[in-house]
Amino acid sequence: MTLHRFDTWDWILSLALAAATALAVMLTSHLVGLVRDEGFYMRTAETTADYIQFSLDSFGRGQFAEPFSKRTITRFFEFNNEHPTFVKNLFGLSYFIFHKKLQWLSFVNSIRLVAALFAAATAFLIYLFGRRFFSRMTAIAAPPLFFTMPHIFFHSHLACFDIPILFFWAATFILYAIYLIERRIGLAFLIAVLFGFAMATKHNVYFIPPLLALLWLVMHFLHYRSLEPRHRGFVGFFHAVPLPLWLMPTVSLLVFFLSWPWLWYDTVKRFGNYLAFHTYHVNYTNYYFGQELSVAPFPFSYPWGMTFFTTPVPQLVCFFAAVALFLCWLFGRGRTPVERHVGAIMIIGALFPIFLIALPSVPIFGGIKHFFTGQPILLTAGLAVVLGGATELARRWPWLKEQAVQGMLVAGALLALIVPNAKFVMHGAGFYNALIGGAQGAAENYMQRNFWGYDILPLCRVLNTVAPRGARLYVMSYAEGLNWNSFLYLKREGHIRNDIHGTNELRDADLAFFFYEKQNESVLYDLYREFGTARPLELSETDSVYFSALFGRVK
Amino acid sequence: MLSPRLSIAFFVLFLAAILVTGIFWLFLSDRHGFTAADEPLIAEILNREFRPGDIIFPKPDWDIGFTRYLRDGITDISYTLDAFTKEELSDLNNNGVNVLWFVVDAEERWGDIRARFVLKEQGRYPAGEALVIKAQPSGDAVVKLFDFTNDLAQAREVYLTDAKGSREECAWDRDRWKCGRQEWQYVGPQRTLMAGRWQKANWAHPRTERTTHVVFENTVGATVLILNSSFLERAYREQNGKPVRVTVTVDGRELLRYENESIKKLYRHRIALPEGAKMIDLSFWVKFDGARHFVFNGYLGK
Repeated sequence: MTLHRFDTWDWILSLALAAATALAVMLTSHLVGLVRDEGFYMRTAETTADYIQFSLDSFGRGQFAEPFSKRTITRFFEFNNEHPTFVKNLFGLSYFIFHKKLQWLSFVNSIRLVAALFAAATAFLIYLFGRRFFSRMTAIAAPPLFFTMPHIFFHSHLACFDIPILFFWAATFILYAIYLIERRIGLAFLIAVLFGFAMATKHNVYFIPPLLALLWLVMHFLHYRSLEPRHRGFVGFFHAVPLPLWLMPTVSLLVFFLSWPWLWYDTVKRFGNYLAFHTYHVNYTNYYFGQELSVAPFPFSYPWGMTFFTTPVPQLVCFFAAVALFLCWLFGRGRTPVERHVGAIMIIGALFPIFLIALPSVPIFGGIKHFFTGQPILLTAGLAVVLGGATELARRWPWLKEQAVQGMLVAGALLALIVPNAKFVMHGAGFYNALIGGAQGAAENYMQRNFWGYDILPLCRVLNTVAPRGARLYVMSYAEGLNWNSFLYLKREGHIRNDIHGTNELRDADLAFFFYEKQNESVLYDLYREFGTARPLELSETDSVYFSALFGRVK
Repeated sequence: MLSPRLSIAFFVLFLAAILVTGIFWLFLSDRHGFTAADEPLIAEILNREFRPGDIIFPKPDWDIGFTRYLRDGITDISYTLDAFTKEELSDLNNNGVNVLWFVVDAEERWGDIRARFVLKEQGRYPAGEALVIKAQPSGDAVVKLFDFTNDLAQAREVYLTDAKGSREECAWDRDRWKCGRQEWQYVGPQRTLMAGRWQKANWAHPRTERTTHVVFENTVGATVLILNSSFLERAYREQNGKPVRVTVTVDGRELLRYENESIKKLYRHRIALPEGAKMIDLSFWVKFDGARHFVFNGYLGK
């Protein structure tokens, strides 16, 4: 297996695609409401910015140790300590620079800039993967096709961990595969550092080292006869272990530890609490074909079915093509040990996130964002297969120009994806593909439509017009609605008038948001009775399917 | 790469996927539901015909655009039709006093609903392409003589007992039987979701190791008792939540005993009452009352 060179043109093209991705995300940020998790992470961005200011002030006073004292660390990093702080630190840094100091971006956009940059990094990574393993056409076409998946584009906006961890997950597998082919020491260190940041982003990646180690072990003994002599025997075994696997428990762990100040004191206790939080994570109720998934065991088909029905059909074809390709690398005749190893790595990188959530005892943490981390690998490799089909056709029918066919194919796909992306830009987490009948088909089958109030901006415009001065607004915080912090940030950002007060008690409210989730329907009935009307002041809909509503009291 | 044939196959599939995607999202994704022009027409009919006690079932239940035009006071709209069985839907009917309204986007949809629930059409109001249908259950529906929810105020007595035999009376207070100082300690009607089916039911949160008795006198000569019970969502989502033991005693004779498990399920029982049955005691007991949001409804009939 040989890889293509990454030349100057590739740098130019990949960076241009990355910049275009970041720009597209930032330019559409105003269309995406604040999701529940952003309420927490934006709050941590503020405390991190406070920490940066505190540190600068301390340094100015010559108190160089003060920012690193236990008291300071506890003060600034206790909030939301169930998640590592690497990405939250970046949120805080970006907020500090681009909002507080330079005032170039609004509060929300200064924090969301980090997500946009991770989306850009993902576009770069996809280009790199496409170029080095397949072709330049694959590398150019894959990023736009990846970001025209409405779920991906939606999550790319959010100041959350999902796109960052998608980047780190895919990067670890792709770069590790490249390492196995090229065996460059610098790359091994890069993988280790990236993996350290991945650990400091989200715990999804803890599975990677055992998976890679186990896979290497299997491959090592399967191909023992063809190993170089220096890799045989007891000592040779240790020489043969790929360098990144040595560096992960050392370099990566160090990066992880350094990036999370909360762990610098009471390390064992605090790390134990972190692990315990995620080991005993609560399940978030989801609806799946009318089945209320509130307690385990959950259906094995859930993440597979959700991936099948929430991926646009062209990209879904790519996913299947990618799996076929990886199986061919793994099991095809005449393949080298390295090719088989890379094939196995790609399958694990692409499908393990889905497989993990499919286990009946694993809680459903939310939407597909928790198992879409392998999709860059699937999309890129699958697209290469599809474009390879065009190459084959051009070979058989020389009047077909290979690149013209490939270009038209990609352009056609992107054109077809404009409408669904336009329809779902505000509620991308509610996108379902044509195979289930889109939004209507999914709603008809009682699939999860919303996930914790975010589809709110169209409602805010009406709210600001109709709400009397000092009105009290039910924000539904206690019932999987709008996060209280998000409500405050919406006010701060100017989306909601400053004189409007929030409440979580319907009986105190003059107006109310309702965010549809089947399991929250009882709130709607209570709201009807309490307000004396079922008439919404505004509905947020796509294809006649409503996602959220604003109501006003009449009695 | 893959074999040439497989690559071409995926190329063709991708091409087909582009066509499917393009055509679907341009022309087909919004083909169901109520049209914008029909929504005011639907509301106009309901605004005119709806009476208190009626229930509206829109189908599809994901398109509520017509509610934009509803008059104030129309709040009994249920989006839970699919969760009901024929018998359970029958239970919502009050001998013709109230009616069920079905708002559908197409004739075929109404045909499916009518067949599934064996409904008798009483009125039909076209609203453009949509239909507003007034209907009643038909077939072997039990005639409702005394409703445990609507007629809760007429319960003979409501009280609590414990294992030692001590007794604590509940007192009628405006719209409910108050059974303690805490806000949740009462038996009273509300509209709620019983295992996903929206309807009226009596809140009857039981107390730890005490039995809540709700006693009705059969003054209507009923021969049949229908009893539904369930936990509310907050309760069955609670891990280690205890079941409620439900007992129906008629004139001192126990006719039914079951455990309402802490799961999402509507328990429905139909009991034939003995000749001349007089006092009917519905009782609810729980080992531990943490988050036992429990409701029941039902009626006496013939």
